[in-house]
Amino acid sequence: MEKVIEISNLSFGYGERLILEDMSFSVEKGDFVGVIGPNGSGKSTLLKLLLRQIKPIKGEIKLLGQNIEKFNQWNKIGYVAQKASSFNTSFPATVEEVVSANLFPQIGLFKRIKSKHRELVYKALETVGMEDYKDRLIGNLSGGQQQRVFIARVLVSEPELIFLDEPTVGIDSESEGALYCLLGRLNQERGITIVMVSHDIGAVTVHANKIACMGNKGLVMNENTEEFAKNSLREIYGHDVNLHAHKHCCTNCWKKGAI
Amino acid sequence: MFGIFGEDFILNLGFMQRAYFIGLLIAIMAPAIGVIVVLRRQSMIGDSLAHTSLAGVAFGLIAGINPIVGATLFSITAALGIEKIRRAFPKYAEVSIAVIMSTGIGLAGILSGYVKSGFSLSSYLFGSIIAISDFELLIIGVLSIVVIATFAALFKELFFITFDEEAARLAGVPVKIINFIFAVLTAVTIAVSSRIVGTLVISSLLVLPPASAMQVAKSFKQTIVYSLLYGIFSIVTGLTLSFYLDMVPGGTIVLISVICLVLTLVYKNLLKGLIVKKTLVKAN
Ligand SMILES: Nc1ncnc2c1ncn2[C@@H]1O[C@H](COP(=O)(O)OP(=O)(O)OP(=O)(O)O)[C@@H](O)[C@H]1O
Ligand SMILES: [Mg+2]
Repeated sequence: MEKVIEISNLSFGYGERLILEDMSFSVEKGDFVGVIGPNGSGKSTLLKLLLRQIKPIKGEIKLLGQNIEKFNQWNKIGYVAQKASSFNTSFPATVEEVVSANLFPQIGLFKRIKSKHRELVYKALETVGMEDYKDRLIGNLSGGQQQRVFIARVLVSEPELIFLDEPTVGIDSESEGALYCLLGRLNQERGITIVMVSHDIGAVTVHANKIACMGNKGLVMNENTEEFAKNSLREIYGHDVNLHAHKHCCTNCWKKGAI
Repeated sequence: MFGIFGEDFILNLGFMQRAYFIGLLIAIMAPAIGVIVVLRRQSMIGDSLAHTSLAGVAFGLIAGINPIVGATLFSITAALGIEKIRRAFPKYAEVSIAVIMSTGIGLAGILSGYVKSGFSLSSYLFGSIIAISDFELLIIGVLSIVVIATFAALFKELFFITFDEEAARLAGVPVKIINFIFAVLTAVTIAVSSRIVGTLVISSLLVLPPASAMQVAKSFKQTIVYSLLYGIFSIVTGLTLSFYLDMVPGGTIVLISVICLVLTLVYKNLLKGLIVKKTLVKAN
């Protein structure tokens, strides 16, 4: 299998204290990895390292087979942050403008957006069921709708790998279920590799094929099996974990305007 | 230089036409740069660069070089200083702006003491449309056109960076270089505008047209277009009034911008009231 992420002997600390120590793991093409672990275990820190926002103290990170220091295919990487709350809601931009932004580097300086780019944007919005909102101001949408627009923005440049950091914080449970379904579909149908940090263990065990548990400055990668769900989660979280999975996963997740 | 018109045409303009020509360039440049400045919540940057420009004007008068050239050099240096200091205090953009602002005011204060009394530093405070020299016309014209062209080239990328810097970087936008270029564009805009608008009011010209535009615009593109329209209207009307009524141009232009903003707010509230009424009628 092709390795999309390879991490070997990675260590990182913000100061003297190490947050991650001698960590090694890899993610293969087509994987859906759910990253779980208690607060402060370094999940967001790991994503920051993978996005080159911070540099490791020791060890090596490879993305799509390329060392991260020389990595230049950022257009193939999508990142969805926890936007719904941190985002400037009075920014005067339409949904269409926000989504087309990810096409700018391929459109080039001076050049205008052409109809073929508009089509790509429309298709991406269709995928997340937001095409009817394309002329609305981004600030006038609900948190869940905004999150879907940001996913469309990532999809428009057809990434091979998508990172998500707690994408459902501040989103109602119905939208949350729909979001996970969409991610599952992108993973299954388009073969996009997904790495998602989430505290929603139920959802993770339904959609992910691998579960990365973080804690004690390390990471343990597990195949997602029933047995694992029962035994290991208890150890990690130190108490029984109640799994209410969103088993009723729908096929057409987002009907127009439903959420 | 000026294509089909020929150099003679521009340089033979009467003093008022010169003022309109430069005014129009400023009316395009300042609101365009201003939209980005406002959306980045750096409205104060205009003030600190303007004060530094004033120090540059004073320096120019003392050293015997053109004040606009002095202002441009000082302003660019200050803008680059702000970028540098901002990196030392990430997330506290105000700190760097405050540091440069006080340096600018301090310098302007000291340097103005050495300006010979014959020179009128005060005309750079509120602007002046009198006696714009050939050299000034050329330098302001060339710099403005460079700023406008660069802004047009980087318009999409500036939008992306302003909306979401991290996503822009990931998508492959050269964020650092573009931020650097934008700092220089802002500095030049302010320095160049100080000649007819004045350093005391130029920062309001960056902020007011975008503020009015944001009240009515329904997209980013519209925000830019409306800002330009507000800017052009304010400057053309302001220059005309200041000519006929013999008022300082900078003050007149800014007051007109303020009136535009107030009228826009009133209009918007009236519209809101109407819509509420309509929906109430419908509901019944
Ligand atoms: N900028 C920073 N400077 C210093 N220490 C930091 C910084 N960011 C995070 N840390 C520390 O690093 C550790 C890991 O933080 P991180 O944000 O990666 O945790 P997390 O697993 O994402 O937690 P959560 O579930 O709360 O999101 C924490 O102990 C935190 O205090
Ligand atoms: Mg986190």
